[in-house]
Amino acid sequence: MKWEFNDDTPIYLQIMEHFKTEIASGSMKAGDKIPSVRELALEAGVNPNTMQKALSELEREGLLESQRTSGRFVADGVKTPENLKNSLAQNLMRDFLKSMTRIGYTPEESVREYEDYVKNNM
Amino acid sequence: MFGKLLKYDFKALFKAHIGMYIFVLITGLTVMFSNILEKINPGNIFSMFFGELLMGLFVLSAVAIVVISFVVCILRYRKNVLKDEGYLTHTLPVMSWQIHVSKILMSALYMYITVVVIYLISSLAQLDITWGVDVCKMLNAEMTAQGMDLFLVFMGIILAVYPFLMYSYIFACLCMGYRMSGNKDLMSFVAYLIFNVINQVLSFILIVIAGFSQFGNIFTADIYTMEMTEAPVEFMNIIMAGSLILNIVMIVIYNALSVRTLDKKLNLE
Amino acid sequence: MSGLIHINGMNKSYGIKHVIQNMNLELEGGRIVGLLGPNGSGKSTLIKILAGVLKADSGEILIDGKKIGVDTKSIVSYLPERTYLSPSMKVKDAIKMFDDFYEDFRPERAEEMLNRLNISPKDTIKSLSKGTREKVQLVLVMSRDAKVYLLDEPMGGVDPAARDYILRTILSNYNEDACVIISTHLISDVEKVLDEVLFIQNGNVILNSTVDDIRDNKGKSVDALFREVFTCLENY
Repeated sequence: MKWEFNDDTPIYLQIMEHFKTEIASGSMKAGDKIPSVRELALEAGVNPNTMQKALSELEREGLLESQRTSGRFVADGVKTPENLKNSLAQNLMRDFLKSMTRIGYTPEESVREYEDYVKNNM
Repeated sequence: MFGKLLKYDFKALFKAHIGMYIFVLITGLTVMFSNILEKINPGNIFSMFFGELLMGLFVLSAVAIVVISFVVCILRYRKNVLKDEGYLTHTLPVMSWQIHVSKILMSALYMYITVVVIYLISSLAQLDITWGVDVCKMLNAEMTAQGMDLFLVFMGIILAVYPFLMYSYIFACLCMGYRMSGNKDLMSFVAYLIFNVINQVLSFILIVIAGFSQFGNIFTADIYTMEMTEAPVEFMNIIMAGSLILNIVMIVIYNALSVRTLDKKLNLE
Repeated sequence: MSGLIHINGMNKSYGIKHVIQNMNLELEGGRIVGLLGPNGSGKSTLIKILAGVLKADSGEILIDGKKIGVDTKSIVSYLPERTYLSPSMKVKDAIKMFDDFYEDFRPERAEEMLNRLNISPKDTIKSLSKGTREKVQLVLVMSRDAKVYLLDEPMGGVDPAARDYILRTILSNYNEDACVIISTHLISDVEKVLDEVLFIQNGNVILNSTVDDIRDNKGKSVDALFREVFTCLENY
């Protein structure tokens, strides 16, 4: 998946989002080996320290685990894709409501707009 | 590291010089053929008309390569130490004095090599390798007859030191000029004029001292009433020894100025 | 405990113009640092002083605990804005020269990078286009295992694809102990690659922060902050 970054949040948080999305969608499965920090940093076009920070945080949250000599892997006991999907979805919904509120919609109006949209476009 | 600098400076100047040497070789060879033709067939029209011309061409090319060598070495110093290449030169892990001295040594070396090459080719042209020695012997005899037996020795040493003096002088002018803001080459020329004036003054002082020591008050002396003793010879000896010492002192001063500028006042554009 | 780069009370003037005034700065190894500021702010001067091609008027400047001189030049790899290679030199001559003078130079790395760029070692510098020449110089500088890399406007006047290449080269040659200082005014390209940024104005460091802190605390990118800070100052 291509790496894309926005301007207002710290890069390491965006990297973490990227991994969570990959794991949630099933592109990365438990037990998959991930490349080294340097390789990932090069691929993403970011500072290796930033990548390291993101990976360490992901380890702390239990999504990744490192084995001494073999490198980093997607954790076996990772939160099921469902839970992960759920927490990512929460983030998206929060952003959606924030943007809609800014335009002038109430939360209820936002839900109605959303339902209309789904009906007409899906 | 210093050895590596010497190697690179030598190689950088080599290409320019080798071309010139080949050129002089060719003109020298034409003179040689003309001479051979003369020997085989005296009174030959070709060698009579063109012999002189070819000789003139050879002499001209010899003078030219001395001048070109001088110019090439100076331009290289300017380009490699004071212009854009300086960004590489001054970030090499070497000291400023090593950069400067390496250029002085290699520039002077190439002047010596050029002179030797000219001598060898002219020997080839005349089919006589010892012509220089003969000239020196003749000159020595003349000078000794006048009482100047040390003349040749002094001249020899002064000529040997001369390339060092010239390069130290010009490099110092460049360094001083390039410290300034504005048109740096113009400032180098101004430095040249200033140093020139200083040199003239020092030479004048030398002559006055030598004159006073030999002839008394030279400003009031009258050549027709003076006794011609050993004085003129002594005078010349003092002048020559004095010049030599002056040259060596100036070499030291010029190089010190250059190195100090490169160390402390370097300001590449 | 001072850092890899230690600057204390540094001053530099050209005539009456103060280019750097009483600058104090500590930089650690293992970081990629952006030196950001408008033209004439003193970025280039700072880099040149660290590289040893310019001498500060006063102040204590140490790299790895040593004063600027031969010892620091052997651990500092400097990429100036200009073409500093002799035009008549061939690329392989330049490699040989770096190999000769710098113990930390890795010729295989340089050859591999040049190979991937399709630059022949037999090409002369003057036969290359300006962009290619700059890439060659970058390759030479990044092929050293130096402790400090000083890159002065490495991406000026170069097309976006080349800029990408330059950033990738910097990342792929990243050394955990080294400090890479990139001076630039093209911030948005470079931001993702930086650990820290220094904003320089009128010869002083007016901001020294990590990129994450700026995004966290100010909620905007470094690029946006830069525009804000420097347009604001321009207006008076």
